[in-house]
Amino acid sequence: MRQGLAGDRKAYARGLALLAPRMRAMALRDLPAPMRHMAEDVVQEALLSVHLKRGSWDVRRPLMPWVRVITKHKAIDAIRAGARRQHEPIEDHAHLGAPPVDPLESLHIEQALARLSERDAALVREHAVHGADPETLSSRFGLGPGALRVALHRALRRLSDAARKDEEWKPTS
Amino acid sequence: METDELIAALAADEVAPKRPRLALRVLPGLALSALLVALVWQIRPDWALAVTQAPVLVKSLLPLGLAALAGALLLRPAPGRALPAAPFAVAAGLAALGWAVAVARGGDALGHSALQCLLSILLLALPVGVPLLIGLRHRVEPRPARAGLLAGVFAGAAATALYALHCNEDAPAFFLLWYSLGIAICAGAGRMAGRRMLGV
Repeated sequence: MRQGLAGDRKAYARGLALLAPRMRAMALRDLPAPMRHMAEDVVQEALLSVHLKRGSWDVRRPLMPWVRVITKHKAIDAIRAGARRQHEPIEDHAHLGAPPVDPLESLHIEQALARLSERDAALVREHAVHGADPETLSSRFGLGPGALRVALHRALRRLSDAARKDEEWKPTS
Repeated sequence: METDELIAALAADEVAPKRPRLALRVLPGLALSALLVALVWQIRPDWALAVTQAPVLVKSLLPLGLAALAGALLLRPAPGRALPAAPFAVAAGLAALGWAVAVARGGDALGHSALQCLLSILLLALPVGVPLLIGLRHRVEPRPARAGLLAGVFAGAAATALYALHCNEDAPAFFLLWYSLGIAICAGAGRMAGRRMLGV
C-alpha cells in the first residue's frame, strides 16, 4: 500500500487486492446473519472510500486500523439502510423463476452505477472489465488523456456518493 | 460488478489523492478574517490599555482557548482519537452561569452593538469554517456531525477572538451572551454541514 501511494500502480492494485479479503472478513463479522449477502457491497463501498480518501491515511501509522474504521462504518451504513428496506433473499423464491445470484456480484454498487450518467458508468465499466487502454478510451469518449483521467476520477467519486445515498430500491433491469 | 473489476478501475485512477492539510487550508482563512478586522472593522484604539483589564482579557482569552481546544481535537485523524463534546458543554454552562451572575448584578445585556456583534462573528467565521470543512471532507470521519460541530466551534471561536480586538463593549453581561450565541450558531451550522458533507 505504501508503494502504491508513492505512485506504483501495480503495487497499489496488489495492495487493494490483498485488503479485499480481510475487509470481507470484517464485513462478515460486522453484519448480522440475515444480512451477510450484503458483505460484498460493504467491501466495495469501503474500497471506494479507501481509494478516494487514501490521501488522508498517515503512512507512518498502521494501515489496518484505518481500513477497519472505514469498513465498520460502511457495514453500519448497510445495516441502517437494510433496516429501512426489508430485503428478501431472492434465493428463497427460486420457484418464482428468479435468476441465480452470483455471490461475488454486488447489487448495491451495480444500482449506484445505474444511477450515474451513461458516460460515467461506461468509463468505470471499461476500466473495470477491459483494463485501462487510454488510447481506445480517448477516442471512444472523445476526451484527451488528461481529461480522461479527470473524468474517471470524477466518475468514481460520483459512484461513491451514489452508493452512499440510499435511494429507493430499484432494479437495474 | 465484481470486486476485482472495481479494484482494476480504482487502480486506473491516476488523479493524485487529495490530502486534508487542515492547517494549510485554514491559515489563509484566518489571515483573511484578521485582515478584515484590521482594515474594515478596525481594532479599538485603546486596545493595548483595555487588554490589561480583567473582563477584556477574559473576552479575548475565552474564545482563544475554545478555538485552541477544538483545533487540537480536530487535528488528530480518525482511528484512535475521541471528539468529546463535554468540554464545550461545560464551557457553555460556565458562560451561562457567569452571564446570569453579571445580569443579576445589573449588567447591561443588550449593549449598543448586539446585532453587529452577532453578524460580525458569523461573517468572520466563514473564511475559517468553509476551508476547514473542505479539508475534513478528504478525511475519514466516523462521526460526521460531531466533527462538523467542532469545526463550527473552531471557526466561531476564532472569529470571536478576532472580533474581540474591535469590540469595545466590555460588560460581561454583554459579551458572555452575544459571543456565546455567535459561537453556538456557528457550531450548529457546522454540525448540519458536517452531517451532509463529512463521512467515512
